[in-house]
Amino acid sequence: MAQKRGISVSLFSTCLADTFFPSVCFATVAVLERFGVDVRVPLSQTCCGQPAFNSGNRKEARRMAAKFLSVFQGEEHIVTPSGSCAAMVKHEYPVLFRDEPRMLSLAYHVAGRVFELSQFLVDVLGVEDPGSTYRGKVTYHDSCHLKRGLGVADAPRTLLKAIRGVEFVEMEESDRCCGFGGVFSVKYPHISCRMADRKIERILETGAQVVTSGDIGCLMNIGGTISRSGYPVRAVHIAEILAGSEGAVP
Amino acid sequence: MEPRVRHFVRNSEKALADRQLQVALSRTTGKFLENRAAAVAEFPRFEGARESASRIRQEALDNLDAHLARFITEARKRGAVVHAARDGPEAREIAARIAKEEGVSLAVKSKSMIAEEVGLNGALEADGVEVVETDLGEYIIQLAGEPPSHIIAPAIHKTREDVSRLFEEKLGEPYTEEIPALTRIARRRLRDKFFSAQMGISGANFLCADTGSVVLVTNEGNGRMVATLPRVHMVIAGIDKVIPRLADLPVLLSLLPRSATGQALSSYVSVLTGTKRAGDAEGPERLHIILLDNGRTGILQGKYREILKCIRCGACINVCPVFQSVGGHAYGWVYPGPVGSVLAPLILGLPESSPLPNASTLCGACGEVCPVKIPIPGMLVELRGDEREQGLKTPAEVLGMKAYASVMSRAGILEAFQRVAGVVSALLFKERKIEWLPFAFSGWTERRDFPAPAPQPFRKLWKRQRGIRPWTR
Amino acid sequence: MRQTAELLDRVRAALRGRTVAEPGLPYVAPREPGAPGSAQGRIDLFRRKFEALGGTFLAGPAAESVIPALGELLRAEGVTALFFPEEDPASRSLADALVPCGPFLLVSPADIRQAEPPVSAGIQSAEFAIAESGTIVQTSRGGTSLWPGLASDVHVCLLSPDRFLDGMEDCLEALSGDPPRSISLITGPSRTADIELTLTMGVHGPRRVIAVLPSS
Repeated sequence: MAQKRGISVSLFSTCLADTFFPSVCFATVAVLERFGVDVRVPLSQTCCGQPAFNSGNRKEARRMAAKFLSVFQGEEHIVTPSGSCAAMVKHEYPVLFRDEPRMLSLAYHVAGRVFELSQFLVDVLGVEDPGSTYRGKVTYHDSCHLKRGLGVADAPRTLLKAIRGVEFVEMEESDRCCGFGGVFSVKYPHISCRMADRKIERILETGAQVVTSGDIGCLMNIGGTISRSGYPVRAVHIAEILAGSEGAVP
Repeated sequence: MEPRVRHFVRNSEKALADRQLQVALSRTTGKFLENRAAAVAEFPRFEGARESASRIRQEALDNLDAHLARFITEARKRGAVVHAARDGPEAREIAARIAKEEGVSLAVKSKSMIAEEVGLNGALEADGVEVVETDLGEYIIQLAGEPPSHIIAPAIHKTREDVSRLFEEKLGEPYTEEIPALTRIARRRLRDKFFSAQMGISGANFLCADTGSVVLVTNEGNGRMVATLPRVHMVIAGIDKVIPRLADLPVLLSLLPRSATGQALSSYVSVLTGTKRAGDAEGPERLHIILLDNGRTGILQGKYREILKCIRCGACINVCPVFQSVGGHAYGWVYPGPVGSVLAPLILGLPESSPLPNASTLCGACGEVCPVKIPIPGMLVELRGDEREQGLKTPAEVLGMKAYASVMSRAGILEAFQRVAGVVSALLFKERKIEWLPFAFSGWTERRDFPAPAPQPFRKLWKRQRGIRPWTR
Repeated sequence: MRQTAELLDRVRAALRGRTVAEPGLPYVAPREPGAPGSAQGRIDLFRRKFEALGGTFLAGPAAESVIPALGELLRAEGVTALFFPEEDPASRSLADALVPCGPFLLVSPADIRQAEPPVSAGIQSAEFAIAESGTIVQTSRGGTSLWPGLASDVHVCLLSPDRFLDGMEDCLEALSGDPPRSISLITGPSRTADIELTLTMGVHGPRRVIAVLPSS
């Protein structure tokens, strides 16, 4: 299984996973190492700046983006378990630095090397079978930035369907926004919750025990609503399903 | 229409609690999207047409001086009187003057968002002119005295029972819940008005620069009626409606009806060029075209120029999950949804419109369906940036962002915070969830749990697992 | 005049006083693959599209099939009166031939100009028929009236094989240079879904459109 491919990856852990869900990071590493990838973790990384950028606080966003670029410049592959963070670096860093030619060229350079996890596995490593086992009926939520931002929708499904023990079921409106939207979730909580309710209705309609996705923000929103309401569904990050290691940390 | 954008939060909460509205919204946006999807699927050229349409509209704007000048010249050559209104008040004044000079006491009107934008009806009515809306949805809300809730289907928030009661109360018609019967009532009532009105008022879907033509697209046929039957035809249109050539129309028409209602083509497309000519069987003797600026030249100048490419199809509105949740009235102005969230700040100003650019999750659905490829999500983020630059953000948010950036400026600082959070979390939140957050964050925990920070962050666990010394990578 | 001059000044200023550009070429979309090249192909495509919109297409020998069938349809719609534009002899003959099938009354367009007219069919020669979309084209050229397709309950469009075009582009090209006062592209009956999104025909226009292509 662990063929030495000679590919090395720098893990972009994301501030949310780092702080709240370390198991997601470990799962990401485990899956990559399963396919012979050499994973390093630059420990000086902090945050890609998405919360600042999306809320229009460009000064702070530029500061964090500059730091990110200095941490990750020169890395060959940068892989992250977050569609929105990957989209931030790929699409919005060039926007942030549109008036600074030197930073702009660095941004483009790094942007070309950032991948979301399922995208990396399928499109770069050519993986079709993640080689794990996971028991349960699973449905998938297309997070907005992963699907519309990065154009990644098939890769996660290819991987999930190949897992032994997974009964994969599509939900209606799988790519309809769950209502997270970062700061939106606290600025407009009523609308945010209504959108989350609708997403959960669609999930419950499938009879799935697990909803998975490639974005932690979405899973916090969906999972947090489920947790409060007591629905019989779990929100699990796709990395953990691919690793077959839900919730585990060393 | 008096803008009430700043009350968005309050109005959206009301909308969320309104069960009837929720049902209407769900049904109508669902239908529009289903029809649109089917229309796009049966049109293989769709993506190519989008690109062409985007370029046509961009060309029109980038050279608006030339095209607008040409339009004015060509329209005048064919008998039109062309006026320019700098803003709403000027447009109202011009319209009232035209009505007076032309001896108008009754005007029939086909749908125009611009007329709503400047409050045209009110100005004419104040001068004693009776203005009758002829678009069925507009006729209904005119009788009800309400503003439109959607740019394509303005009365979509009303059930058939609502409409029956309205016709009974305001028109003295017998109560009926049969929609064809209700439609026949409107047909009969409005037919009379078409024949007796001195003036027809319309907007314009497009203005063709090379021929001076006004293009009206309707399904009901009221566009042709108002532009053909009365002696005077008054058109009011934004300067952004100009397209370079009549020959550009087919591409734009291949997208507008499909994006709006899922039809390959609307029932009636009228290309109207000038006044009645010698030998013509019918037509208006007098044609007045009012070109409205109202902030558009300002938008043209700046970084938001592309929003003027909009062809008012409503697709972004239908697909927006926020609009689907709260409906049109919550936005408090003529243009709701994504396009409204960009136009309102630009035309009404950011302070008045500040909720709107923020009331979006940036999900990107609008940008995906826009037939002329307007990058709406990017514009919303840009507007949020403008808010910060203009000092419109709350001190709490600015301070919060600065603090957050400071913590994130060094891994060491972040780690310090994470360690404290981890210890507190392990002590207080044994079930690994937080049920109450203070201040602005309480919005989250009203109906959701928030995850408790992990007892130890990933970076610490990783270092320990891999035996990494603190100062190496 | 002054206002429009000021407006143009503001526009020019907004575009930073760039020099005037010549309008470029139109963005003509490439032809739909499989667009009919033949007249019969166009007629068949038009028929398919037109019928999909709820239109009725009658073709064949006039006296034997088209006129009786048309009479039947009009009776079923409750039509009692027929009218046609004065200067359209082909419509006049069709109307005359239809009278016994009703019986229908021949009225003038002025008789239709009331709030509650008799249920009427407006008969008119169509200028063009666009195959790609099932669209009937009426213009104001040659003093042609819009009335039959505007004010009637049923619009009867008289076609001939040489009037069929592939697409809207061809139609606009044929009318280019100096367009007539009015070009009306009619695609199906008058319709609305403004009440509860329920489709209803015949708001401010005919509730039914019938295309007639007599072979004799």
